[in-house]
Amino acid sequence: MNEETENKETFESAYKKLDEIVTKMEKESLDLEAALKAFEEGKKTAEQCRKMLEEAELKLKDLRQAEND
Amino acid sequence: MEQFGFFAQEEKIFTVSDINKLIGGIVKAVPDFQDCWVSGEVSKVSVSMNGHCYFTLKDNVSEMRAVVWKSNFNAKIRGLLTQGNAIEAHGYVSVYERGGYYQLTIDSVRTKGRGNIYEELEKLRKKLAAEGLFDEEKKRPLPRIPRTIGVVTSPSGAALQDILNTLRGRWPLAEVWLSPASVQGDGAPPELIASLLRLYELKPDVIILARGGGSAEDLWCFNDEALVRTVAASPVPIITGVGHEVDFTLVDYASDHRAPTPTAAAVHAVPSMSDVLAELGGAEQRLDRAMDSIINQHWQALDILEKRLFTQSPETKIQNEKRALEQMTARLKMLRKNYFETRYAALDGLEKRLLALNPENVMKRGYAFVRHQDKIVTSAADLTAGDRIGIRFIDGEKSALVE
Repeated sequence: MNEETENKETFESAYKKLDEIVTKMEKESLDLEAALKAFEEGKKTAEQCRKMLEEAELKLKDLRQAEND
Repeated sequence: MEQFGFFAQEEKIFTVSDINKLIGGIVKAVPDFQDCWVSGEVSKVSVSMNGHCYFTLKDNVSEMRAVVWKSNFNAKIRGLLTQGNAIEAHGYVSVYERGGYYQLTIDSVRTKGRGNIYEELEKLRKKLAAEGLFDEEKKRPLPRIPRTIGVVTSPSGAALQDILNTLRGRWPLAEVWLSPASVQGDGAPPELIASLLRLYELKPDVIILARGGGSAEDLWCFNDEALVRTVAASPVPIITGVGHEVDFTLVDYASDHRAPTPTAAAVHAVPSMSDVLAELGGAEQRLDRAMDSIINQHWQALDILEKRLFTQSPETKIQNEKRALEQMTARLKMLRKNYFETRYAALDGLEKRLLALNPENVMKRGYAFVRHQDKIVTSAADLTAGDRIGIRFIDGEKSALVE
């Protein structure tokens, strides 16, 4: 039970954030400054998602062993 | 020999073949022998070079020969025909005339005492279905991207390795919580239930309940009523992958999603990484396009503003006044031109009409007029004899005397 929640941002939350940013930029008429900020954040989030995917390794936790620990 | 020779004429002498043939006929005539279930214990199993299986079926008192032809000798029967196993075999009894023995030719085999187990299973299925445990509306959609996946299976089985390999290949972001349990035998249901309940407390995003392929008997524990009820009560979506494509157990009806194998269960539990990477690429493209479009919109707005500003400038105003003045001058010119042109045309017309009235035109045709004392004479009564008159022709005048 030690290595969970080591980074707060999970893939799902990052992915959801990216989706929201893209939708916002497509649907709403943002002023230029807000758009640039959203764009930058979107790019960063996409990169973060990709990095998470590429670096992921399946974690396996045996609950029976964990109980005995 | 001599002694018996005397009777020889009266006695019927059978050949061995005759006897065997007769007995064969008698056995064949008993309807029960042609379609029967025989219970007994398996022993002395041997498989011939040709793939036929020969064994002895026995009880406390007797034994008989039995055979399963190669065409019927499937994995399920092979599994049941182990030394000492109590079975019920279905087939027909016949005499093997060449060998002089009878045997049971078997086409199907089941574990002893499970004769009506399928009927009971169907009864249980109907009962649970009537309670609504298998209702379609109860089935929940699986999370698209689960973070935690609970797995209930044997820690030593191939199913677990299949699941882990599939998850590693498709979606290594997931965290697997293995809640191990034995997946075979009478002790399996309580262990499986305990493993599920352990996961129900921790609430992973999705649970996989799986077991590799086996005989119907091997998979039987997945029909356990308490286990099926526990699966139906899962607080999170649960995927079953028990046995192979053709195997259906009651937990499959109770789960949110039934996968044909453990591997298929893992495939259903997670998205494929390549799909998600492609989606990420798509999202980035949309991001770029949205940014381009926003920048374009701002350029356009700027253009429009600039144009409006230009129209308000003094220079533009002077230009506009100048243009208006030029237009007025042109109109004035045009008006003047029209004024004179219409009048010239009227004058021309009048002139033409005037010319048409010139008396010379008449005189050219031979007419002349008469003048007396500088007055034009229009009536014969105005003249008297002796008057001197002038006759005016087109080309000149002659004087004459009136008689």
